[in-house]
Amino acid sequence: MLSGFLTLAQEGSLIGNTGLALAGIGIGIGLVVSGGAKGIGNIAGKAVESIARQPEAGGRIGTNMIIAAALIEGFTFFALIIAILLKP
Amino acid sequence: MSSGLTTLAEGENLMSHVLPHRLMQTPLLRIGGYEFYLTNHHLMTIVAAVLVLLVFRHVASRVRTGRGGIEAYTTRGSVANFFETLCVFFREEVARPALGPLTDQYIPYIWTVFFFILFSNLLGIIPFGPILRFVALNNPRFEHWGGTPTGNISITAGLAAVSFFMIHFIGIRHNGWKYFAHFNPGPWYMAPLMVPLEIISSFVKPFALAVRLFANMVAGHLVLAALIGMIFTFRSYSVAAGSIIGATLLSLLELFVAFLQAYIFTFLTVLFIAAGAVHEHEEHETQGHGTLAAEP
Repeated sequence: MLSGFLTLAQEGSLIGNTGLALAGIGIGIGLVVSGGAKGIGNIAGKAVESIARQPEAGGRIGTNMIIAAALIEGFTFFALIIAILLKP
Repeated sequence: MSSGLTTLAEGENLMSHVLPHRLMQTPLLRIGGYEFYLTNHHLMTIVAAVLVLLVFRHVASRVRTGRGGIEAYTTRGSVANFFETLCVFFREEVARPALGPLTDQYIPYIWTVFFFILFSNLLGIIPFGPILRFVALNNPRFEHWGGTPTGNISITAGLAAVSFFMIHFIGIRHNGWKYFAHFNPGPWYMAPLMVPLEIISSFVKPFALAVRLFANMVAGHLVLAALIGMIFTFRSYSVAAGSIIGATLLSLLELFVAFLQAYIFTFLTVLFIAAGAVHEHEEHETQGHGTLAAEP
């Protein structure tokens, strides 16, 4: 397993403009994913709270939660696609 | 067999699992300077479309038959019942609350969109290429004869273009030329600001539909390929165990995402059609409901 790590480390000798560009893309992806995860976490928290408050509406609330989460994930994936397109 | 597996993962890079590959080296047709090749995504689109046609031919033959009486309305058979449940769910829970009286006129298009996207997404989860290669005695020509049709931006863009056309066509058909008054939902002096914004948003909404579907499918397969590729980078049994468990759970998530993205695409199309075509009838409906509720 150590040799596996070593092979991974040897490929990562990117310095200069290409390395900086890739690092920038990585940071960008991290920011976008953290924004999306915070948004979906908000929805999930409020949905679970409202199900606890009114268990009979649990089915409808759950359905709307899934729909909203999928829409927010759509925006997150936009950023992923642009990051793949920008890779030098 | 093991040499075939290692060339699978090592010789190609990560993106080759989600990119379209040519099935034949001679182009199908040549227009001007452009050559169009048959790719594996074309093949899987045809397979998905033929599958939808065959399944629903069977369902249609069972749902409403020519025999008289109550026999004509009962659906027999598990497959027909299953698809009829899905169809009725879409017509009653998704389309009718939004579209109202226009539902029965446009429900065939909505059903087609949902089931084509669903079958395409599900066909991408089955690894037809490697199975074909295994059956054909390790012939590497069949390696890429599978794939997700909706994992190609051209195919999802085509679906979104059809949705765009339907949104405006249904709006103009039911509202006449007053449909273009929708582009200014405020007082007249806000028009220079609102109209470009509304025009841009009418293009961005189908674009978002296309990219959402494409990105969900591609991302699922990319992460799966990366997880399995980790086994070949590390070459250890403990990594393989964790990787296979992770890949199994991810495949279950992909199954869920396949259904969800088909539903989201169809639901948003219905919503956009309803926003353009159905508006003034709502007051009459609530009046009707009010009088019905008042009766004891």
